[in-house]
Amino acid sequence: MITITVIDREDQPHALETPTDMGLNLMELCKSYELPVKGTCGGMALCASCHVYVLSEHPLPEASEDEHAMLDQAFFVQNNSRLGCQIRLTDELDGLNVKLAPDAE
Amino acid sequence: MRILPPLTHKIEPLSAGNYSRLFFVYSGMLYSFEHSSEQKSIETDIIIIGAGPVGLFAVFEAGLLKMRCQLVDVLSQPGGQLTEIYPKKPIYDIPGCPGVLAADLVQNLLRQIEPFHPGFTLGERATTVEKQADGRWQVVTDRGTVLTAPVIFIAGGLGCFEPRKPPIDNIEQFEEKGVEYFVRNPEIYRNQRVVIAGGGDSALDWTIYLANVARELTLIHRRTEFRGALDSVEKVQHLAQTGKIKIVTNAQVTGLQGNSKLEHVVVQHDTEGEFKLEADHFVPLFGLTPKLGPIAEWGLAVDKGAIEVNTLDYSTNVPGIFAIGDINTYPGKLKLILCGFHEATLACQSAFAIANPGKKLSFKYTTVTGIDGLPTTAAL
Repeated sequence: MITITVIDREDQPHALETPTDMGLNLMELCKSYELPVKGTCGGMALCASCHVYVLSEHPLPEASEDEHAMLDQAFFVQNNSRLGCQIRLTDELDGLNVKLAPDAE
Repeated sequence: MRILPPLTHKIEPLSAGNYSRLFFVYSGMLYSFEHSSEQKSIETDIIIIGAGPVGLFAVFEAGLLKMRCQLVDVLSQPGGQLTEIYPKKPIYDIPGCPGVLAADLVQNLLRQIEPFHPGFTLGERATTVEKQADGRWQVVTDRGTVLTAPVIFIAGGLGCFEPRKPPIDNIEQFEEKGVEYFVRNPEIYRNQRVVIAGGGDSALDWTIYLANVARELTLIHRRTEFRGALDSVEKVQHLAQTGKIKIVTNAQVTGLQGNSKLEHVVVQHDTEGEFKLEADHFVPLFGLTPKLGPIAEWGLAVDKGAIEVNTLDYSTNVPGIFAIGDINTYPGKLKLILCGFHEATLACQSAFAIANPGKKLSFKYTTVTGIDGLPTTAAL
């Protein structure tokens, strides 16, 4: 089990515990804890409803072309912007700290 | 949502009058469907709201029971998300298809339902529903088409696709006064000063097209790189090098100014700070996003944006209205196309009883009855 801290849009931190052997991604984790993340496209990097800012220095997988392309069309994008659905939860990400981007829809 | 290139299709007027036909070319064969245009009244057996895969397949199952269907969709082409969002993505969990591109699945469904002659009301949003004195439902679209039927299937998927609006405080104040989220009529930009924002295919395509129409054209993009088709990117860069257009990268539009109409666009550049551009039109092209839309006000039981149904036949709390596919919810719901197909099939059984009161339904396999218009044994 690892713990991920997700700061919601009201600046409240939530410590989310999760196993790493289920192939979960960050969007799915947020949804399972009923945080306000829609995950509209189901994890295809096609909607940006799981847009987060990464606040800690964890080694994240490189963003794919698809993720870059979607972030190009998203709003409130910053240098530390990522799509939660593209961040697969692994042991290395224990202690990861992210903040939900504003709801642009 | 990101917009990927549309399917090859065109809408051509058939002849004088309010009818037109919708043509699809698939594997060298031409398929055509009736397409209603504005201000028309249509009577049918089932009004299907949403022309995604589940709505399309419902036409087939309804057709087996000799019920006619009219499909309504806010998008201008059938296929829903599959066409609009991920046409080039392979789908692996359609029974009997070891892998099929989303766009191809839509084309196959169109081919499968063609024998049942469904009607299409595309590019129109179903806005109101009302029960008539004769017990049938009347659905009216935002373009004034009136549809009447004893049964409604809501196969709305994620909801209605709407353009994503950039988070600029007063943007709504300038809608119809210089801000357009779609290019509907390129001629309104003739000899005007136009600012386009976005970095995807639609922003690039319209930049290329409007370069010869607008008096001044500026394309604003948040990043340095453009992600559109390589050919389009090169064309846009060439237009900028030859002085036909201006490109401002690493910048975003953050404000709009004007009195009765748009006069200035405020641009925030990552390193150079804020500056103003004179503009008659601002066209932000950031793709589409789905919203539940007017369906939310139809008196249906809704839980977290999905319509609650009885899994016996996927009926809603309102008799005569069914909800199938991603838009419904029930214990154990999975948002899968294959589940939507099953839901459509069962919903048709109850729809038959409503559309044909007193008539008995005898269940028949397609292997027994065959289907006029689909390939026969010899052709398969």
